[in-house]
Amino acid sequence: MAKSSDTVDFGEFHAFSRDILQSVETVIDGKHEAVELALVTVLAEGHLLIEDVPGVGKTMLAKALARSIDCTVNRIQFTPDLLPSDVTGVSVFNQGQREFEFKPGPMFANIVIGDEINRASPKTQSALLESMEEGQVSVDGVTYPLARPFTVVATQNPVEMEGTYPLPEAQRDRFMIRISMGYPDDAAELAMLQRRETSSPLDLLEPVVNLKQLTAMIGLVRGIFVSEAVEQYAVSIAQETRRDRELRLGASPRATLHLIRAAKARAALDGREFVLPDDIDALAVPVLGHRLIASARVAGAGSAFQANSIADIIHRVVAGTAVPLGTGASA
Amino acid sequence: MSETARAPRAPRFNRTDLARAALLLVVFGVTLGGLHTILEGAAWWVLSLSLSVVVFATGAIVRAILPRVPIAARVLAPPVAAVALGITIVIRFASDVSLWGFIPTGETFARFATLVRDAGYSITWQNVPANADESISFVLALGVGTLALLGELFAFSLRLPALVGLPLAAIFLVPGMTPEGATDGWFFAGSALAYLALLLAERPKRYVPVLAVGAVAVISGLVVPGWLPSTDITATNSGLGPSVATGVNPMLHLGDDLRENDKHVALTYSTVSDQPEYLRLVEVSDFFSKDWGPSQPFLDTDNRPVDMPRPPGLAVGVNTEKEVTYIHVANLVSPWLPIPYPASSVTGLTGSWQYLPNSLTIASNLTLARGENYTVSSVKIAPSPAQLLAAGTTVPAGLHDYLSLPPDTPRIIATTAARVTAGETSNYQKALAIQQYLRSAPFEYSEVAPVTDDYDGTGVEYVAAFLEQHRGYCIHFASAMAVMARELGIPSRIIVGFQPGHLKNGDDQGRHIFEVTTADLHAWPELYFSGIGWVRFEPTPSRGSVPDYANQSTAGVPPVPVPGTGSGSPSTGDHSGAGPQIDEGPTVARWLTSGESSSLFAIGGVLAALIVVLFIPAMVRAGRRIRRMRGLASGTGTAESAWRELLETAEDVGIGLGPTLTPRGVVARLQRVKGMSGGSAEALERIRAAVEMEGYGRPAADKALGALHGPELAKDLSTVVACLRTSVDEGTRIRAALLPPSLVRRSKRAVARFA
Repeated sequence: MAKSSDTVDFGEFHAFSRDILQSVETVIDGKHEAVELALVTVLAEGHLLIEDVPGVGKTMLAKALARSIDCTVNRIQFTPDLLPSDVTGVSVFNQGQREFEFKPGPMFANIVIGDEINRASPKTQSALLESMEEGQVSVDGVTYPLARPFTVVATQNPVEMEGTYPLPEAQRDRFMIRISMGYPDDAAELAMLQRRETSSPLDLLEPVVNLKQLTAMIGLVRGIFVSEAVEQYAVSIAQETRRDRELRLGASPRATLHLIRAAKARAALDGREFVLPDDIDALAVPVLGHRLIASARVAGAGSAFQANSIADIIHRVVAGTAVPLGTGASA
Repeated sequence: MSETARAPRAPRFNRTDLARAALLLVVFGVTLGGLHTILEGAAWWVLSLSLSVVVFATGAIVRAILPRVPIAARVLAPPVAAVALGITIVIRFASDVSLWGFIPTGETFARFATLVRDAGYSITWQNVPANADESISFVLALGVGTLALLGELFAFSLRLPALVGLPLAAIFLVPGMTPEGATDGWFFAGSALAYLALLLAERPKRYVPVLAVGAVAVISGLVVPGWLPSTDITATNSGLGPSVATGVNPMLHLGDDLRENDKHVALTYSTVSDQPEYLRLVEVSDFFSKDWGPSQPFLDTDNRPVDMPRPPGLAVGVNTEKEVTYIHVANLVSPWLPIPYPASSVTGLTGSWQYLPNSLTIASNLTLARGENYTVSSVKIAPSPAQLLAAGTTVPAGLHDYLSLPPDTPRIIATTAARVTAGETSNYQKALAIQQYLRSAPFEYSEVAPVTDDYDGTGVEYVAAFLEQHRGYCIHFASAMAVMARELGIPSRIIVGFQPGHLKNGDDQGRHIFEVTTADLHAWPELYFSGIGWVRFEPTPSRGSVPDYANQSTAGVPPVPVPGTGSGSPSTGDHSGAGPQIDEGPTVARWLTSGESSSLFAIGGVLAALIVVLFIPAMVRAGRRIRRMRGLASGTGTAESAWRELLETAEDVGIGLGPTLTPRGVVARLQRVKGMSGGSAEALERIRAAVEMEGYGRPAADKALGALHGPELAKDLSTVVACLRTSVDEGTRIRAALLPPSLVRRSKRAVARFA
């Protein structure tokens, strides 16, 4: 922190990331893995999709993450009547200056929390998702760049819940990582009760990292080395999902890219200068899980079952893919 | 075991298991059938197959009794099958000298020892195809039983059915070792097919490796018998120059040897006599068999050649002259010792040799004449024509074997004999008449004519053909005279050996030195005269020398000293006029009947080769390990090589890791291995870190790392490898050493890639 430069070294990176994780975990109990994946997403400049039943702390996680970082944060509560312009912003005619003036929407922030994204109409969803992908918003023919870094943390309820519009595959593909919160265990739930009795711990959260530091951390993640062997491994897994007979839709090239980028962030969090195949293994389900569609035979029993079975399929594919060793040149 | 003790119940046969055993039995049956080229009849096949049945059935029963404890069944089946096999063999071969007919006693083993010894004689001296007598059957039973046990072990206990090819190959090697018994292609193909079926049954989805393994087996089966015996026999030529192989039956290929242009030195000898004698190798007296040759001798170890008996039939009154001959055998591959007739004593032999009392030939079933240096004391029998005439036509009793002829002997021989000897009264005169008849026109010496006119063989029908064609070489003349003599009631036999050879420059302490080459190989008849014994004749024109007593025209006049063939080949013009060339360069013996004679060596050689083959995987694997360790220690090795060694060692001891585990996944798995804690666990982590750094880190960093940490990495690797090895039981360790699964997989992969 004493350093004023735009870069961080591994020691600082480790300290910052530890601070962020600790900060978030004062609010979210017993979900270390989910919290870490959320941080990976932010560091890898991806977007996070948190999917679970209501009341398990999806929004809490998103908020805690946003609060721990000293940057601009906006929150959009998606409802069926929300319009695209409510998200992106709108051009209004300024009578005084006699010209159109752009009123930026909630998208213009470093972290955008999109709550219950699947309650919005597909039209609004796509407005959000397009700007997510392109990092810019176009209104009335004028393009407005979004903030940097820019991360959307969206939450959604499983599709069988009432009044939801499930995200289409193409749009799910834009999220780097999907996590499920899952119910807390006994101890975590008890701890949560005791802490919330008097006040909301969220209010007590102070930012531990500023925007500049976050940018430097992202810069460090970008510089993490990925060997050809690991790239080959990621590609092999992706290829295998496209060939697998139990999958109707395999991983997209964008999924492979996200896999590598997330792996770099995970390697950095682990204090490594290079990515291991283990990073790919660990991230395969979070990165690929929401993009793959099981073939009808497997999918028959509904989506909860489907999520499980897709995770199983991914595990199987990963377990069946040979890990390239080193350069692979010498025997 | 405890399983059955607690709850005895009916054995449960697994259908797949039975099918596999049946298939294995078919494989063995077909393969054993291939031995028909060297064994007569079918009884031996039934016996061998029965023993295979005993082994495989016992294995199946053991597995059926212990269906719940497959490991116990796999471990127990081979020893139980071995016991069953042993009992069966005792019942079959020695039930009369065993307790209750099947429990071996000291006498049983004495019987076995006798059988093995007899089998040695029998195998050595029988012609191919041999009669599978009791002794050969016994050795066959032992061999087949052992191979069946190996088959059981490989196919069921080790679950490596591909290895069944090894015992099969061993069976196929046997015909390849004999001179005549070429492998039967049909049986070979059948066996290969059955073997492939066995492999496919085991691994139905893996056609490519199976076919590749099968192809390797087929090719090696075809090739190995071809080179194995030859390397066994001829590779030992060292220092003795090119070999002259006469084998057990020198008659068989005598013609080929005479026709050969390159002459090799068979032996040299020195003697004071300037009129040296013929050197005899074998006696041929049985004219009944298809291929004439020496009968199978039963060598009595008491018949030491140091003290030979008096020649049969020799009376005191006959003129004899003592002679001493010093013989050095150069490179004669023969179980027969060349000696003059009749020898009274042979000294200086190093090998185990025995004389045969009837023929006074000397043979061995353990050694070859090659390299022997010995001194022969002999007598020269010089009967006077008067003594021979006095023998008249009397034939002493006990010579029936030397008079009998097969019933289908062509008439022409008897009629010719009668015509030629018309008017002669005594056996001596008749013999002279026959010799004279054969030595004069139209008979002429030719080494080629019998071949081109297709009567180059031994047997009465060939003798008849020769009498019509009038052209042939020593075999034909000698056979003709011997058979004609028998037709006339004169005991006769054919001797194969060497004519005296040619005089060499220089002398040995006043003795003449003679050199004998393949060109001097010869056959001649000996006829028996009462009161004198066996007497040599020379019916072959332009070859050898006619003895004084048999020289009709110059009887009583000393004949010209034997020139041998030193000055040139017989004047038949059959081959180039140039003198015999002594080939000093290395050559491989053209034919290898000696394979039979030294079958003990050959079997030993094959066993040694098999053992070497058994150890090849272990050696290859060890070589890889050593190479990697050295590379690491010298700093040139990569962490990846250490890692691969680690993976392969784990695979060898049966820890399945596979290529889909990341280094950390491997470490997590290996940390569960017994004893992988403390120092070895830390070593494991260090190796893991090194391989990750090298394999996935920035390329610039790893170079320095490998050189820097190589030796430490080698030490860590040794620690972990030792820990992995000690974590498994003895059996797994031995298997890992002898047949490393990593190597098997590698070769399979290589084969698959090639295919």
